Amino acid sequence: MVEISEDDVSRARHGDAEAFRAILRAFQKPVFQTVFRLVGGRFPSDVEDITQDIFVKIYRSLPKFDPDRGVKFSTWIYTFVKNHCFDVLKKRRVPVVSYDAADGSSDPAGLSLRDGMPPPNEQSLTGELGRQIQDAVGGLPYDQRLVFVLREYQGLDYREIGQVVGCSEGTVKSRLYRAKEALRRALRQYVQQS
Amino acid sequence: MEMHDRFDDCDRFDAGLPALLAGDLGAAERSALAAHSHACRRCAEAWRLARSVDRMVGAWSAPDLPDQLAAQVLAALSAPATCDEVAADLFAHLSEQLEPSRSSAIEEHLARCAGCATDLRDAEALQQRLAAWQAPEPPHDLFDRTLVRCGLQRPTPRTAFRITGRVGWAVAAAVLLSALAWSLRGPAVATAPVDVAMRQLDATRELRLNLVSFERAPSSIGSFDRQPAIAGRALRPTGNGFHMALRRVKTESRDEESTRSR
Repeated sequence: MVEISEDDVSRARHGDAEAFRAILRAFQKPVFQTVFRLVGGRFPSDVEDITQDIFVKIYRSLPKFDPDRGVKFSTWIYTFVKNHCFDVLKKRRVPVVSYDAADGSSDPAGLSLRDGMPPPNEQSLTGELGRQIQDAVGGLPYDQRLVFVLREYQGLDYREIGQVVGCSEGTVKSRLYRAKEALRRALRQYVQQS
Repeated sequence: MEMHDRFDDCDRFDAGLPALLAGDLGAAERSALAAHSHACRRCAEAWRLARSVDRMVGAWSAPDLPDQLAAQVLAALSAPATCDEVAADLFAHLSEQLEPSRSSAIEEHLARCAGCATDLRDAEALQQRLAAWQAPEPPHDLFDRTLVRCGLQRPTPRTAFRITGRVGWAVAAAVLLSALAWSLRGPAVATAPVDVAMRQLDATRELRLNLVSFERAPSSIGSFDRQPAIAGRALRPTGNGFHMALRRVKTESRDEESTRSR
C-alpha cells in the first residue's frame, strides 16, 4: 500500500511543487500499473498517456482534497483512476456495464477463448498464460475488474474499495467473488495444464 | 402560591400528570391535581386515559428466550458446510478471511468431498497465477513528462518531442507537405533538392522550437507560464510560429526564383 506523508499532501494542496513531485514519485508506479491492468489489454499504447492525464487531473484537483472527510489520500487518488479509465472506455465505446444476469450470476461469455485460438495443450504456456490472464481480466465487466485489481494488486481493503467505487463493503465482496469465479472458469484449462 | 393554584389550569395539570403517574408528587400536590380534575371534565378524562395507558404499558413484557434458541444458533454455527457454501467461501478461505469455526467446517467438508477439493486446488493455482501476473514498470521518463504536462517543469528537447508525440509528427508532416506543395506550384525552379530539403528542415525545426518554447522557468505551482495546449495532447501549432515558418519558406523560395530568373 502506497503511503505519503500528511505534510506532503498538505503542502501540495497549497501549491508546493516539490510536495507534488513527492506525490507523483510515490503514486506513479501503482497508478501506471493499475491503468495497465484496467485498460492495458485493449489500449496498451495509451497507458502512458492515460496515466499522465490522471495526474494532471489530480494536480488540478489537489486544493479540493479534504483530509477531514475521512477518506485516505491514496483512496482519493484511485478515485481518479477509476473515473478516468471509465471515461476512456466510454469514449471508445467499450461496454462498461456489468453483464450480470437477472439471477445474479455473471455472464462468462466475454471470457471465452477468442475465435480461432487453439486449445491450450497446443500452445506454449510460457508467456501465453500471462496474456490469457490479461485477456480474461480485461474481459470482466468494468465494476468487477476494478474491484479485483484494487484488491488483488493494490492491496486496498474492502472499505477503501467501497469508497473508491461508491458502494458498500458487501457489494465489493460480491463483485470480487464473481470476478474470481469468472476468472476461474475462464482460466481453468490453462491453470490445470500448468 | 397555593398548592391548588399550581394545577388550577389545564396546561399546568397536563404538565404535572407524568409526575403524578410516576409517583413523584407529594400528598398536597396529588390533592391539588385531584381537585382540578374533579372540577374539569377535560382533565378528568386525560387523567383516566393516562392511567389506562400506564397500566397497559406496565403489563406488557417481552417473552422469555426459548431454551432451544441458543442451542439452535450453536448448531447452525457448527453445521457441516455444503458444496454450495464451500464454493461461495472458497477464495475467502484461501485468503484466511473466514472465522475459525467457518474455516474448520470448510476443511472438514474438503476432507470428504473430492469435487470441492479439486475446486480448492484450482482456486489455489489460480491465485498463484494471478499473483504472478506482472504489470510493466513505468517508462523512466514518464515522471518528467508528467511534470511537464502539469506545467511544473521545462521540457528538454527530447521530452518535448516525446510529449508532442503523434500530434507533433502530424504537424511536422503537414509542414513538410505544405512546403513541398508550395514549391511545386510555381514554374519549375532550378533549385537543388538539397536546398529545398534544408529549408524544409529549418522550417520544421523552427516550428518545433516555437511549439515548445516557454518564457519563464517555474518557481512554484501557479507562477509558471503554463501553456497546456502546447505541452499536452490538445496541440495546435502556435499561430504566429507556424505561419512565420511557412512565410519564410515561401519568401526564400520566391527570392531564389527571382535570382535565378535574372
